[in-house]
Amino acid sequence: MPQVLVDPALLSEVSRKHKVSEETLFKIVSAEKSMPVRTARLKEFKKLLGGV
Amino acid sequence: MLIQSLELENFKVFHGPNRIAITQGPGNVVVVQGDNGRGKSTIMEAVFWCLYGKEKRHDRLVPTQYPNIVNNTARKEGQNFARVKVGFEHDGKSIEVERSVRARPHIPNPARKSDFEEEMHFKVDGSDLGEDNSLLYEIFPEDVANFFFFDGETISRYAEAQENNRETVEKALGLPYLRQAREDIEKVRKEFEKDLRDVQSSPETEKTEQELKLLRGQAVEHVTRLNEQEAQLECINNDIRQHQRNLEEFDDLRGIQQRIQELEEFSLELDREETAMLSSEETFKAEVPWLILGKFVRGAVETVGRVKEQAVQERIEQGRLMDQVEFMKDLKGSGICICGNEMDAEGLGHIDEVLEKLNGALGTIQVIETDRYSWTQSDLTTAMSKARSVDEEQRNIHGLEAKRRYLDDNRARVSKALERETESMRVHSAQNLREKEVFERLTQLTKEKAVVQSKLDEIRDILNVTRRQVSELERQLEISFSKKSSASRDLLESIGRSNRALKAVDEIIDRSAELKRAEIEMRSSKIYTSITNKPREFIGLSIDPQSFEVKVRAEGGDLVESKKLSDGERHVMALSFLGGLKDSTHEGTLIMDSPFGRLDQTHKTRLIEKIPELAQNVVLLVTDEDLRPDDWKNLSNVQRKFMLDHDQVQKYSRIQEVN
Repeated sequence: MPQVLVDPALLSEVSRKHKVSEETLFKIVSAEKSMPVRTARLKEFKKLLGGV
Repeated sequence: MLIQSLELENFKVFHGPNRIAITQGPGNVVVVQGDNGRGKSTIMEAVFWCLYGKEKRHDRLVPTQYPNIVNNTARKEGQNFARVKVGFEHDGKSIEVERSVRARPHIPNPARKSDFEEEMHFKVDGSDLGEDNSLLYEIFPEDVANFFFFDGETISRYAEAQENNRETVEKALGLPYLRQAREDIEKVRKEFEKDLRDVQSSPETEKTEQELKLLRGQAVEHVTRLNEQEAQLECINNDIRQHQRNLEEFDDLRGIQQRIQELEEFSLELDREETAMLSSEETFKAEVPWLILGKFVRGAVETVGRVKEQAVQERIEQGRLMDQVEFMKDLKGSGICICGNEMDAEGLGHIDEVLEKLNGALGTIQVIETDRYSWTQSDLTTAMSKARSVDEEQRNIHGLEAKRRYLDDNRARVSKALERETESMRVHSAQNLREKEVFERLTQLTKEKAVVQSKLDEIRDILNVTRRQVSELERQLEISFSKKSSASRDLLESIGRSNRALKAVDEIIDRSAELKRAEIEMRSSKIYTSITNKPREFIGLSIDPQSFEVKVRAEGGDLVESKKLSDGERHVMALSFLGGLKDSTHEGTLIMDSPFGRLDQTHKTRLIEKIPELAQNVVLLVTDEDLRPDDWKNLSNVQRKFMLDHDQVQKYSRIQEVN
């Protein structure tokens, strides 16, 4: 079944490399699963990336 | 997606209600066995139709064909409907999808699509969402389903390069979620960029700037007008001052006129005083004889009295004056005489002498003439009473003389002053005509000044309002610029964060895909090597990182394309790939329709042994030929077995569970 399986070690490494907080990155990669409605997702992303 | 039950009613070859139940352990393999044409592939079709509303024909999904989807026997029995229900579990949720097609009422022989109506219910944990099956498409898209519900006859295509192979595999792996996240980030970034553009070209700021520009322009205009009006006011004030000066000059004229008037009044006063003086003088003159007489009498009394008192007294007593000549003789030597008509020459000589003396004494006394030559006693008494002392008379005379000198002096002074003022008046008289003009002009100027002043006040008010507005707008603009600057900075940071997040997600996608690819490759290879009868020649599978094309890795490292393999080898390769793919997701049901069609017995046996490992649940749709009695010995973990009974007369099938 389709699912997001991002290796935590990979997430951590990429987070450091691209200077994006691990928490933000985790929320991004899991947002599709946790927030099926896109408008809600975009709103959340805007908050996350807007530094709110 | 773990299928738990499958219900078919009047669906194509199946008549009446039919059900396949798949329960959790023991065993994870469900076998549905039936000869060709009994409905094995129809079961697969029923699953696709129920989930996606499309019929699966070979390798394609096509729109539902009405009315063929309804079982013929059922139609003959008047049951013009078909129904399929798939129950499955996903993420702990119990999901049911039920789709049915039913002929519309009052249509005796429904044959066209429009004669039927289709209905679908998507239920999650018992909650009916109607036709909203978007969740299904999220968890199990159509193209992903192809990897899990597959027909063995076309299985080889999964081993061949396809344009959307990677995309489809990625879907099976859930990578589209990450791609969707990437798209979302991209969209958010674009929104940030748009916000930045909006902020930088803020219509509000532009509007404020335009308003400010306009107001500043207006303020400049007001100032210009103000300056003009002030200049005009200054001109008017100058003009007014000039005219006021002119009026002041006219005031001088009025002064002259006033002074002339005063002089004339003074002159009249002098006239009146002169008249009075003259009157006094006349009075005095009228009294002079009596004064002289009085003097004379006193002198006579004093001088003569002693000598001739008796004689005089006698004459007085006799009632008549003595003979004037004699009297005069008598008085001779007293220094005083009196004239009369009957005076002789000697007497007149004395009179002249007396007059001369009197003139010397009195100055202005004119010739005194009297016709009286004889005085009575009363005359003398009157004369005596009126007579005054010389000193008094002299004081009177001096007063009159002083008055005359005063009058003469003042009259001369007034005359000169009048002459002078008259000359001034003459000089200024030319301006008299202008005085009226000046006054009228001054009045007009005053009115003009009021108008200009009013305009000036009005402009000042407007200017003040405009300046306040400018000040307010400048303040707003400053705030706006400040906010703009702050917002721009924040947005730039947000865009930067978005870009970094995009790169991070890109890397996660690429590396996850690669990890998955490597994992699938490893698992597929493992399955492949366990099934293939050439484990020494072919050591595994290779999945292309870009296209996900599956190739066989030969000993020595060479990659063998699927088209160079035999059908059986290609079949094994595809099964291994799907098995590896399935295995990598660790869950779900695998439905395999005739998976052994092109395999030789060796491959078939090995695959049968491997089947329980391929997925959490496996539904095998096979013929008797596919699974011979010997094959059953190799198939482990069988949970249930169903047979497809077929009515040769009615030409329909039914699913029967066998023990």
